[in-house]
Amino acid sequence: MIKILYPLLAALLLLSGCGGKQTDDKACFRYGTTAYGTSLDNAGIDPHQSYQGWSAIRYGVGETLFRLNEQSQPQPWLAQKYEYIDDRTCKITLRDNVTFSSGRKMTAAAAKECLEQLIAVHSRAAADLKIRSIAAAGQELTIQTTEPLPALINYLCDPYACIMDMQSKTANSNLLAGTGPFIAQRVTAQEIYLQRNPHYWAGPVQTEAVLVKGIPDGDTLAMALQSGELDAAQGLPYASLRLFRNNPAFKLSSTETSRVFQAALNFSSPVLQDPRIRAVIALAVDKQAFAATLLEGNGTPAAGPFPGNLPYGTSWRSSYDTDTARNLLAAAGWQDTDGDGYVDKGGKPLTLRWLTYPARQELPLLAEAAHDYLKNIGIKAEVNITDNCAVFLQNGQWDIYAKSFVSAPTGDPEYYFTTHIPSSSAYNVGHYHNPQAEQLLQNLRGTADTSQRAQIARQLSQLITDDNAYIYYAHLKMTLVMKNNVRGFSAHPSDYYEITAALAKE
Amino acid sequence: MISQKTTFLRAILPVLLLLALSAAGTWAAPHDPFHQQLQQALLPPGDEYICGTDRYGRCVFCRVLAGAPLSVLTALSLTIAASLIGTTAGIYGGYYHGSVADKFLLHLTNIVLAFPGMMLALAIAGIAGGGMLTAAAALLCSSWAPYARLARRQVITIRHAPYIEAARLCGCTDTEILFRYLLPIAVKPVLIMAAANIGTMLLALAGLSFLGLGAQPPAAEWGSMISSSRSLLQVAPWTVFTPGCALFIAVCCFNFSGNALHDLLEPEHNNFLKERTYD
Repeated sequence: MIKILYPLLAALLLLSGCGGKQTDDKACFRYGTTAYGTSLDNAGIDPHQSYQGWSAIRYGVGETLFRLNEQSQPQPWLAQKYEYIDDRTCKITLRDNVTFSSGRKMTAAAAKECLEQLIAVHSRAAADLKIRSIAAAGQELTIQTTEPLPALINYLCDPYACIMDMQSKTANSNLLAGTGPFIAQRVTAQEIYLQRNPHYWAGPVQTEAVLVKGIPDGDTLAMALQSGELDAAQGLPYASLRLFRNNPAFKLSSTETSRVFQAALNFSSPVLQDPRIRAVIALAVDKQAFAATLLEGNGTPAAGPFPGNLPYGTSWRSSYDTDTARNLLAAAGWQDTDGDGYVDKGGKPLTLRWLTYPARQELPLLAEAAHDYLKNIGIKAEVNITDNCAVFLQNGQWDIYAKSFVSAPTGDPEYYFTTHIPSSSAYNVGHYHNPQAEQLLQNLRGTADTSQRAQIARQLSQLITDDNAYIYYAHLKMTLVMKNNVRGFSAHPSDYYEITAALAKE
Repeated sequence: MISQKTTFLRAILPVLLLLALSAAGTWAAPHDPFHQQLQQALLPPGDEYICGTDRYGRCVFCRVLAGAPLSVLTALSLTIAASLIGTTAGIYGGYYHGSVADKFLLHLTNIVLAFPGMMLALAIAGIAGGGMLTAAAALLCSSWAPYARLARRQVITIRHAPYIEAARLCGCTDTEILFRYLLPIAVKPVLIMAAANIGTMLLALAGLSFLGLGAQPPAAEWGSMISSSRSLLQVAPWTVFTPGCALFIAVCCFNFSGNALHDLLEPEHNNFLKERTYD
């Protein structure tokens, strides 16, 4: 047995040595994240495939024509400027000094190839961008849309619009040439290995190599960071942040984001067709306590889909009111007649099925907290935390579906409402229908003025909050933890830009 | 020299205590194990909360007590159910040895035994979805087979014994022979196996809950308590260690009592202990 064991151990050591060949280098920045992997549909760097564009942008492989600044406003990036010829035509002038890592110059023709391929294969992008035609001449790209699209520039900030060299795409490889500060050398479902782009257009890149490792388990991630295997990490459990907060060997970078933890109510469920019951659910949970204690301050209580710091956001006001909730229940005919602590009507207790998934650590916490809050006012909640939410949603086996969603990924409110208000929209799983809301959405789509758009967005937020179609619990405060010697690495409100040319290890 | 009976009684006492605590469950808890008080979150062990509080401000000790019925009694019930199903199937198969039903049972047993028990349970629970009932059903599906094989083997060896033939000649029906003469013979090894397996069942149940395929929040099942507090291991270790210790102690109790029962019922197989005793 020992004769077999020793060679096996030796082989294992050798294999691990080979694996570490590229990454043991001191110049390599090792970054662990829970936000990369097949379960998140972003394992890869092809922006035309599901959410892989997020990985291309986050890890510095590719760039978009415009990028969001700290205030979530679009700013030129690969583009130099833009102008609207008319309400359906936008002329974008591209930078003249940008080359792909393949060596090819980034011209309007190259961008056209990429965007045309995008709308041909990516249904979400095609639905957002509504492109009729694209014309390219030198560095000038002219995009014509099928209808007035004031948010076109915002949509071009979405990672799916990452500009890649389509000629570098081959059938046998998942590597693509982008314009970013790093070049992808190896892309697997678990990790991405990147090397410095020596010809990066925006200046010298500070770090030689980067290894991005997808580590789905937050505790493993925390221990890898503590043991020194990683230089930085994203997605640590909130409880683990205490380990690093007052530790001089580490530092943190936090920012508020538009990722919202929300619950959709099922309008097909008979009990939830009563607006009073929906209001009761909204009143029952202390969002402030949830954000302060269970998210350990890494979240802000939410009153609407967008955080209050955005021009179209909703300022926080507490809605926690158990007395009103109990009165509403009584008014709706639900009372505890049998003394079991739960209200009932016609001999049936009021039971709500709370559906959520475990991939975001906040959602099981919310589910368990909500269970107790609802119990306090006499509602029995049956919590179902499962990876197979789609099955339960399809079968209608749910009353409340809690999920996490980035509400303003393009710095514009239209995307959220487009995906949540129309009856046929992708995320309107609760079959919410309000003609007034749909009319307001139409108005939003036809309005170009930013302040007017913000006003309509606030009206829409108020309307769906009044209807309790969705209940908003908290907005995420994203935190990156890194070793003290890391420079140029900070959290961005959009959750897009992580690895940049400024990243350095001292 | 301590007799086997005394050893068994000593080993069974902690189990009885555990079962009594499990039966008492929430009643024995000094605080409401399900009541959340977020302002009391993650208090370390102290006078008021002897094992501290969890992230929802709930008393961890009370939750461990409240979780005992779910963890211990479910494991016990599952073991009893698996042994009953397996034994019944096994004695029928053994008695009608060579029949179509016996062959079917034999093949089914072999198929179930071909998979590692936990893997099979994981697959079933994973397909059927989470929940305590699903987890219990999954464990039942994967744990009856060893009992069936054992009972079948026992019955095959004695089904042509002279006293069975005599009973048949006396006009006893098959059912009478099965339950009056064969079952008592098969019961002893099955009982020993079942007693030894309760601890394993407890761990398997906790394992499924740990993986999110068993009890759902806010149920106080020990495995799910460990799982939900995993991220607190370094900052609030009491939230993990308390249910972990409860699980460890319960499994030890059942394993020691299983061994003692084995020694009591089959002292002739206890050579190692015999030698030590005579020393």
